[in-house]
Amino acid sequence: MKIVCTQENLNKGLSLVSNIANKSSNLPILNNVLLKADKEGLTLITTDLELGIKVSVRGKIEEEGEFTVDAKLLHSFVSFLPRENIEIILKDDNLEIKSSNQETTIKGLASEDFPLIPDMDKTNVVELPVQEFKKSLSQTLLAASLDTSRIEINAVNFSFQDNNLILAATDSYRLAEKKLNLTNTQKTDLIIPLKTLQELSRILNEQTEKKLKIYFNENQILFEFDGVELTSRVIDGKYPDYNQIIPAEFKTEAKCDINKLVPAVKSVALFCKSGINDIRLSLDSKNQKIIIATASSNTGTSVAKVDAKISGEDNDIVFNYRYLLDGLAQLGTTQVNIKINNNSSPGLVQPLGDDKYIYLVMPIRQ
Amino acid sequence: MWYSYTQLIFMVNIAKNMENNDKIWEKTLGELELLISKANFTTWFKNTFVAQLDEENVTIGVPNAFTKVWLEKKYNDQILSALENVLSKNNLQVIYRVITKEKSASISQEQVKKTIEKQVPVNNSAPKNEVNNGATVAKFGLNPKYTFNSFVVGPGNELAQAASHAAANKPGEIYNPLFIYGGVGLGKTHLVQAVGNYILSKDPTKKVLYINSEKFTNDFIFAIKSGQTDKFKQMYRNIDVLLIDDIQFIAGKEQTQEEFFHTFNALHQNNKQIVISSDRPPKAIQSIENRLVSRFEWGMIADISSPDLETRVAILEIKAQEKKYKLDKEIIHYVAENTQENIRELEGALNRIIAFHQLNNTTPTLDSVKAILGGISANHRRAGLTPKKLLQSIIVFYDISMENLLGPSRKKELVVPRQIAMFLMREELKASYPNIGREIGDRDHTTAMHACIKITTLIESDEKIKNDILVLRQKIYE
Repeated sequence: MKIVCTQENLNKGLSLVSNIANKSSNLPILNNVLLKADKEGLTLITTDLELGIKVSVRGKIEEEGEFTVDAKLLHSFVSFLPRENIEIILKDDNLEIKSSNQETTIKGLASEDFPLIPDMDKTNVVELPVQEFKKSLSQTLLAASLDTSRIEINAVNFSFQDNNLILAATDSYRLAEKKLNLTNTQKTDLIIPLKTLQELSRILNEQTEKKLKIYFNENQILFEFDGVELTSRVIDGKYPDYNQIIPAEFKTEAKCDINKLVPAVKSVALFCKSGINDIRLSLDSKNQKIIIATASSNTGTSVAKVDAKISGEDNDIVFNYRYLLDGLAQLGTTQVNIKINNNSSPGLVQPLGDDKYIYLVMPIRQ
Repeated sequence: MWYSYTQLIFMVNIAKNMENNDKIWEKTLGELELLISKANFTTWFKNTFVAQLDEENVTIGVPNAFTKVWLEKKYNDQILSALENVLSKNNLQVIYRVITKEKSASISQEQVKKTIEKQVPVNNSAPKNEVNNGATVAKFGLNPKYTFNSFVVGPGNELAQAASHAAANKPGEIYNPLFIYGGVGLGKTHLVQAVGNYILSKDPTKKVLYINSEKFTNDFIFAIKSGQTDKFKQMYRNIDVLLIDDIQFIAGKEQTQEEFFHTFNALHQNNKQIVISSDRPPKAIQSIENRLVSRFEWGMIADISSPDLETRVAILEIKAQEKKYKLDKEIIHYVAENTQENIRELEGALNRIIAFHQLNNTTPTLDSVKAILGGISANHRRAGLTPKKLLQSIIVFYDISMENLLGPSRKKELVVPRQIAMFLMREELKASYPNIGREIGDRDHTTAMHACIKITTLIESDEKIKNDILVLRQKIYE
C-alpha cells in the first residue's frame, strides 16, 4: 500500500472517524482505523459494532492495500504535522508516514480481523437538507434520556409517515418532537440510538453539502453525505406512545421575547432550591405579564416580571428551570409561545408561528 | 375451550424443538470456542442462537447486522462444519438472520396459533393465553408447580402466605419490598415463585424475573468482566417483578451489594414489586450494608416457622395426592410426627416410602414405614434410646464396670468416660443437668454442667476423644 495525500484531507477524515474507535474490552482491533486503498481511493473506516463510519479521503493511490492502526494515535499524530503532502506506506506490518521533515512508523494489526461494515441495499431512501436536519436533531436530542438501561428512550424515534419525518425524544420529564417535510410514502417507525445521533450531529457540523440521504431497513439505518457513510443498528423495541401526554388544548397562552425571558429566568433561578431547580411561572392576563418567582430558605427570594401577550385565564405552573432553558435555547425564533393548563398538566414551549416543533415539560408538583 | 390431543402434541413439540435447538447450538459453540480466540468468540457469538432447524436449513439468529456480516464472511465454514459434526449431517445450509430471541419465540407461537386455527377454526382467545403462559413461565425461571393453590397454610406461615398473596394481587402497591425469611425447606422458594406465577397468570405480558442472589452476583461479575454493565443494568431494571431468593448470600460482597442497592432503588421508585427471601431477618444478616437492611425493612417482613403437626399432615396428604399414591391416615400421622424439622425432609420421607413400596410391589403398612424411616428419622432413633442403654454402651466401649462408672473414684480413666456419658446424655437424650447428675451416681447438677463444657472443648482439641464420641454415637443406637 502506498498513498500520497494532503495533511488537511487526511486530518479531516480522521477527525470524522476516530471518535468512535473506543476502548473495547473484548476486541482490541476496534481501537483501530482501517485504511483501505483501492481504485475508489483512500477510505477510512471505524466501528464500535453498533455504528460504523466510512469516510473517503481525496488522495493519490500509488499501490493498493489495507491496514489498521490505532485511530486516536494516528489522528493526534497527523494533526501535528505541517500542512503539506504526506506519504503513507505499508511495510512489514508497520505503517510508515513520511512528511518533508519527519518519518514515523506506527505498529498496527492486519486488516483481515477488522469487522466488516454491513452493506445495505439502498432501496428505501429519503433525502433531507443537511442544515435543516441538523437543527432538528439538536432540537430533539436534548430531551433524549441518558439512562443507558432503558435503550428505547436512550434514543430518538424516527417516524416516517404521510410525507413527514417525525423525530421524537423524551426522558419522561420532557418531550421534544419535530416534524420535517419529506417526499416519501413509506410508513415506518425506527428507534435510533442516541449515541449514533450524537455522533452524526458531531460530524454534520463539519459538512457543508446540501443533501443528506437516509437509507433504512428494519435492522439498520445508513446516513450518507459528502463521502461519509454512517451505519447504525436500529433498536428493536417499541417507542412509548407519547402522543397521549400532549394536551389537546390549553387554557392559557403567553407570547414573549425569548431574549427577555431567558435572562429573567436565569437570574431568578439563582435562588431556587438546589436539587429541585424549581421556578414558578405565573401568567397574569390582567397586567399582561409573566411573573417568574422562586424562593429558597438558604439564599433568598426573587421575583421578575416579563412583558408578554397573555390570552386565557390566569394560570400558574412550576418548572425545572433547566428544562425550560434547554427548550428556549433550541427554538430558533425571537419569540416563544408558552401554553399551560394548570400545575398538574405538562406545559408546552413552542417557537411563535411554527407548530412543527413541540417542547413539552412536565411540571414540578408541590 | 380445550385443545385436542394432536394440538397439544404439536405445542409440546414446538417447545421441545426450541429447547433442542438450544442444546444443539450449545454443543456447536463448544466446538467453535476451541477454534476461535476468546475475544472474537465472546464478541461475535454472544446472543446468537438457532432460530429454526429443518432437514437442510439451519437459521442462526444474530443480534445485529455487524454480527451477521462477520459470521457470513469469516466464520461460515467453521460454523457449518461444527454444525454438521453436531447434527451428523452433510450438505447443510446455514442462514443468518438479525432477530432477537423473543421475536423468534413469538414467531414459533404464531406458528402454533396458525396451526391451531387451521385445525379448529373456532378456537380463539383462550389458547393464545395458554401458549403465552407456558412460554413465559419457562422463560423467567419459574417452576409452574409452585402456586398459591399448592401451598399449605398453617399457623407458621399464615402471615407470609397472606402477605405474598396480597403483594401478588396488587404488585408494587401494598408490600414493597416483601421480605420473607425462615429456615431451610419451609417453603420460602415456593411462596416467592407463587407470587411470580400468580402475577403471570393474571397478566402474561408482565416481565417477572426469578433469580437467586448468587446468580445476581455472577451476572454482575460477568458484566464487569466483559465491560457490559449497561446491559446488566438494562436487564435488571427493565422488569416488572423481581423475585430474589436467598439474599443472605450477598453478604460480604460489597460491589454486588451496591449494584443491588441501585437496582432495588430503580425498581422501587417505579413501583415494581420486589420479593426477597432469606434464611434470617434482615438485621441478622451479617456484613450487609445498613442502607440495604433499612430498605429490606421498608415494606413488609414476614417469617415462616416450622409447620405444626396438623400442617405437616396436610402437606403430606397433598403431596401424596399429587403423586397419586394412597397412604393410610395412620402412616401419614406417623411420618408427620417423626419428621419435624422441615418440609423437604417430609417430602423426602414420603418419596422413600413410595419408592420402596412400588419397587417391592407391596402396600405400605405402619411397620414397613417404620422400618424404612428408621434409617433417617433422628426422632425415631431417639425414642428408642434410654439412659440405661446409653450407659451400657459406654461401659462396654471403655471396658469398665457400671459401679466404677457411677462410683466416687476420680481416676482419670474413669473420669473421662463418666464425663462423656454425661455429655452424650445431654446431647442425645436432651436430659436436664439435674437429671443427668441423678443418673450418674447421684451427683450435683453443676458436675454435669462442668462435664458437658469440658467435653465440648476437648472435642475441639483432642483427636482421640473426638473419635471416641463419634463411634459411641453410633454404638448407643445399636
